[in-house]
Amino acid sequence: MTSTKTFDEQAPLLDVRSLSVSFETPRGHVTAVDDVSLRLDSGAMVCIVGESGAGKSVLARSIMRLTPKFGVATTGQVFVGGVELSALSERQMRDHWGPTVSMVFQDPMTALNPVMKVGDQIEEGMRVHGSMSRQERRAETVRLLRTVGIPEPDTRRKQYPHQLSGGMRQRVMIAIAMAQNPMLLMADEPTTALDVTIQAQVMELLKREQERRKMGVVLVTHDLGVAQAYAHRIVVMYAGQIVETATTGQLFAATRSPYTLALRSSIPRLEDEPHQLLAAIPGRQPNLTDLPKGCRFAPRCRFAQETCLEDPVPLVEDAQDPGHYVRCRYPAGTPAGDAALERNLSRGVTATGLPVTRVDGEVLA
Amino acid sequence: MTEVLPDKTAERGPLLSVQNLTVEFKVGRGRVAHAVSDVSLEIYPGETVGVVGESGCGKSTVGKAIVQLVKSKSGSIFYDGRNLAQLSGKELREVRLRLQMIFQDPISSLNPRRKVVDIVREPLAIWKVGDAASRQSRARDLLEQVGVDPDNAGARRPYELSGGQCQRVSIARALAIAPQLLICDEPVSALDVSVQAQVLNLLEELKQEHQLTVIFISHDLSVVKHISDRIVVMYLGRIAETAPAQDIYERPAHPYTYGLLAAIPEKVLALGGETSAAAVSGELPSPINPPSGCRFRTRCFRAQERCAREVPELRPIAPGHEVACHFPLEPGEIPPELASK
Ligand SMILES: Nc1ncnc2c1ncn2[C@@H]1O[C@H](COP(=O)(O)OP(=O)(O)OP(=O)(O)O)[C@@H](O)[C@H]1O
Ligand SMILES: Nc1ncnc2c1ncn2[C@@H]1O[C@H](COP(=O)(O)OP(=O)(O)O)[C@@H](O)[C@H]1O
Ligand code: SF4
Ligand SMILES: [Mg+2]
Ligand SMILES: [Mg+2]
Repeated sequence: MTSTKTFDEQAPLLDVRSLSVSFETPRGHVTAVDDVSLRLDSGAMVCIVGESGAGKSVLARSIMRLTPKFGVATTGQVFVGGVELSALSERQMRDHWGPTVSMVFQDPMTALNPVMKVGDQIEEGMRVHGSMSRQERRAETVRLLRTVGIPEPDTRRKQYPHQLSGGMRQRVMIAIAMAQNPMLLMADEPTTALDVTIQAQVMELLKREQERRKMGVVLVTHDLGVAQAYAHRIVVMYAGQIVETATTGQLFAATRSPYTLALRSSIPRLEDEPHQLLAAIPGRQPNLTDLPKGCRFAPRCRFAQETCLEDPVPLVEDAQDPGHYVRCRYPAGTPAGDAALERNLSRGVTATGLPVTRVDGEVLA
Repeated sequence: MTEVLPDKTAERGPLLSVQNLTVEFKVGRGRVAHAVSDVSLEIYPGETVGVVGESGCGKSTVGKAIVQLVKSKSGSIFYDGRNLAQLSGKELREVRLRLQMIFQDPISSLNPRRKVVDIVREPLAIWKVGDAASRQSRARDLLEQVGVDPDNAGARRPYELSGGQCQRVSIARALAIAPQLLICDEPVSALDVSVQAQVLNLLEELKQEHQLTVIFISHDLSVVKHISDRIVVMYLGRIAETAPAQDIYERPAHPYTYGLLAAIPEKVLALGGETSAAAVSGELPSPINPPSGCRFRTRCFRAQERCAREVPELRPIAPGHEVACHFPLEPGEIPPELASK
């Protein structure tokens, strides 16, 4: 690939600094991504986790510089391999789509060209950025299709997207992204529309290619289980902000954010006996046009104290656990958090008036 | 056995009995999709039966055949001992009242032009239950019960509500005429997990309150395990295995059930990604031309020559536990075929 040499080998592969993205909408100004910073090294996978509307896709798309042209305001910086993508013109950015950063989308049917054979779509990227002959490109396409687990690749390459199953289309998307040998792969819910059996196959494929190519992967998912199984680092988002980020080990060993904790306990687990009451999170995510003044999670939080409602809460590193950041004044499992929970239990409500009780040792709202 | 199985010798028979149900769809050029083939199941009063399997395996079609939304090619459906095919139009409509179905897409399955409270009131009006005032107050009560504020949200239209709220409205509507059997087709699949938990808890609560019998269709084995007494695993139009919920998880006997469990991210950590990815290989074959013998054989780690020749019958291997496989797993077996992977 042409541009690799100009990259700074020392810098982290991906370095996002205070990225904010706002939209002008008829209902007012919304900040879908609010002051997000993150770093990722080559050969590692970071998962962006959160519920619908948390800002995951807007974050991924704005790293790619794929946000709409009008009505959007973006601030902050994005570096990939030391090059500031956020400072490039659109013309310059085009050289980086492919070899620097590629993207796999949730719905491959809309991302693929419906009237072009899949093999031609894979070859297209090689033609733009490479210097291969036609035969070489064809051989590489067949090889890639085989790598991503498509049977009879020489037949399949001549087919159109609608002739493939959802799982196969997703594999083709991955092959297209791989064809340009990107340093960084952005994958936005690549398995959400697939059955678990196919999800296991596609995730294994992504993991294998990430290790083999020393590629960095940013995986967007709403499934904390997928993140736990595959990510090195996890970023949890809520209403546009990072609420917690840590290595996967740190996050599950000591979950600090009350939101992450609540998310974890609301998921039914296989080990549970049937018919157990789930620790659901009451209410729902706030509207971005009408955010609470203090902590955005406060109205649904079991730990909430009066101070949570006053000012925005910063994301701070845990002094005892370097690399583990949390946006909470009363993090779970800390003396402050324990005291907050006890206080709410003894008065029966949180600072926002949410009733809380203890059921089977667990605090429920 | 951790579950108390419904006593089949008890006086009350099954509330619903599906016998040898077969549904085929014409898909052009003389071909048919074998959506449901020879499926039999019995559901006892008060039970929750989960139906699980990959997309396209026929789960929704079974549900729709029960509520007579699709025509079956053969087989019969008995409700409370009565064969639905032999009922008069009037009798069938009355039985249909006792059977309600909730669909996956909460927003588009509700009439977008009507107010939420009217949507819930509508079945009461159609069936002329009580007078106008009592119907209005019953609709408001139902909304209250499912956690939707009748004063605020009740006056809005479906597109102005969140997915979770719409699913609650669907549930309230389904409960309006006091059904006995509720068929929930992927009722939480479109919802965020925090909202999914709210709706699952609500269903659990309403089940007790209204003494409902429930068929819960989902592709998510953890969710199904959570809510069901008994689980039916379907593969390509047939039942692969059925057992009490806990047994399906603790001792899956069908290679497909084992594979479905192994692919859950929770299991990936324990088994390793490679084993999880290999547990069910390849993709679901077309229902237009399903494999001979055992339909699962093209993806099965244990398939032998016999599997291509003979259709495995569903047969009992333990109380309440039936499997359709020539070479089922032993209880607690870790398949050696996958260990080498
Ligand atoms: N082009 C746009 N104009 C206005 N608002 C937008 C636009 N794109 C996204 N948003 C808003 O930004 C917020 C974040 O959206 P985003 O698509 O990133 O969510 P997400 O976390 O990816 O959710 P999901 O899990 O549903 O994919 C939402 O409130 C959304 O409505
Ligand atoms: N109206 C229809 N016409 C043709 N084929 C159908 C129709 N409905 C369902 N099918 C086919 O029947 C099979 C089972 O479908 P379905 O019951 O919807 O599966 P599931 O609910 O398990 O995802 C699929 O192959 C599907 O494509
Ligand atoms: S019958 Fe054969 S192919 Fe079918 S599940 Fe059993 S071992 Fe596998
Ligand atoms: Mg998204
Ligand atoms: Mg379905």
